[in-house]
Amino acid sequence: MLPIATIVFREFLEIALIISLVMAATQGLQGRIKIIMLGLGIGFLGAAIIAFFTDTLAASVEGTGQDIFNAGVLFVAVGFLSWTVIWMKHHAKHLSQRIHKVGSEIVAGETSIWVLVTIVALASLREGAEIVLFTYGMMASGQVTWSDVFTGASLGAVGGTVVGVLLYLGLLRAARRHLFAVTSWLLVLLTAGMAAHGASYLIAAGVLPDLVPQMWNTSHLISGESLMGEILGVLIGYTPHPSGMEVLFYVTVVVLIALLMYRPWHSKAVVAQK
Amino acid sequence: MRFSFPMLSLSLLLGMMTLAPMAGAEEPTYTLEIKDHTFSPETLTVPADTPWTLIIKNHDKTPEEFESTELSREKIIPGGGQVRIKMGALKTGTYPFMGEFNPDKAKGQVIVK
Repeated sequence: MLPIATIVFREFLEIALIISLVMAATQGLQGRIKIIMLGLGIGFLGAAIIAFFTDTLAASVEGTGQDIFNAGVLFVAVGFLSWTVIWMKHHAKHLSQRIHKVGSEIVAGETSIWVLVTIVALASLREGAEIVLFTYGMMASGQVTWSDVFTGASLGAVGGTVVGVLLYLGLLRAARRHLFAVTSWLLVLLTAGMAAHGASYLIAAGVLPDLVPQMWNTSHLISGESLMGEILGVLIGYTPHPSGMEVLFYVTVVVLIALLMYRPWHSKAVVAQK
Repeated sequence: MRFSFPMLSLSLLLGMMTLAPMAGAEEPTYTLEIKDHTFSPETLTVPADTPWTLIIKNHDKTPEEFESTELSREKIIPGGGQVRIKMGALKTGTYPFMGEFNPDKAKGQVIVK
């Protein structure tokens, strides 16, 4: 039972951290609970389907199919997350003004809702598939019973969710004044970390060169296996010894999103329009 | 405002998939086998400063996840399946790895000399 709880906790923590950050950043958007539930539902359904096809996936592209698939999921999530941060930057004012007027109406329109659903679904897709595969393995080897799986998975899920909720509430409290700025920058780092992680999958698949095998090594400061290392890994893409290509992806994504958020090339025109 | 990031990343990815099989033709290849939730060999010795490829064969019926933060690699090997992982040119040292689905039994290390 315990190994299931541990692994479900670890995977759920990742999902919960991503969701809580996205939710903190999209304060003022109505119907977010529904968005999370729908996203999780789609994500876990997808996870079950992927777990079912793992054999085929893993064997494809000369045994690197799974890495390429994971990289794909991450890059699509990077795209949607970037869109969200940039969109929020340009609509935040508008959003908070209308909320007072419209109340429960879903302010942001359907596009942004589906973007958020997709982000939640993608976040739960990869991690969910791992949970399914792991529990399948445990069941198949006859080590555990259904009730063990259920108890372990519930414990892990609750634990992971609690940490995510704590982060969410902590963020709302700590950054009350500059909530929007703080959360959107955290989201930028999360997105950049995902891009770097995606790059590392492509390196493992031999699609991309690593450029420099190890840019630096901070594993003696924060080990990648520690809880701290794992949480930082999800939130800001911390990895104790990134390769040159990972750093390149990280920096490029931060710079690109920052440019699209602030648009230095036509800042005057935008101000004039409003 | 409509962004084409998702489309862009998808098309990049498709491009990469077509390039993928070219990688790693003459590089040294090392093989790990999983039997009864343990790795064999448990210690793999590879040359320093040389890119290499790791092949993992899983003879168990259940899936396993090869994971190593030191090597910064994680990968699921389905039951009865085989995967390929590209490794960079490593510095001398010891790099532990484990099977995340059976962390008590499935342990090992790569020694780079």
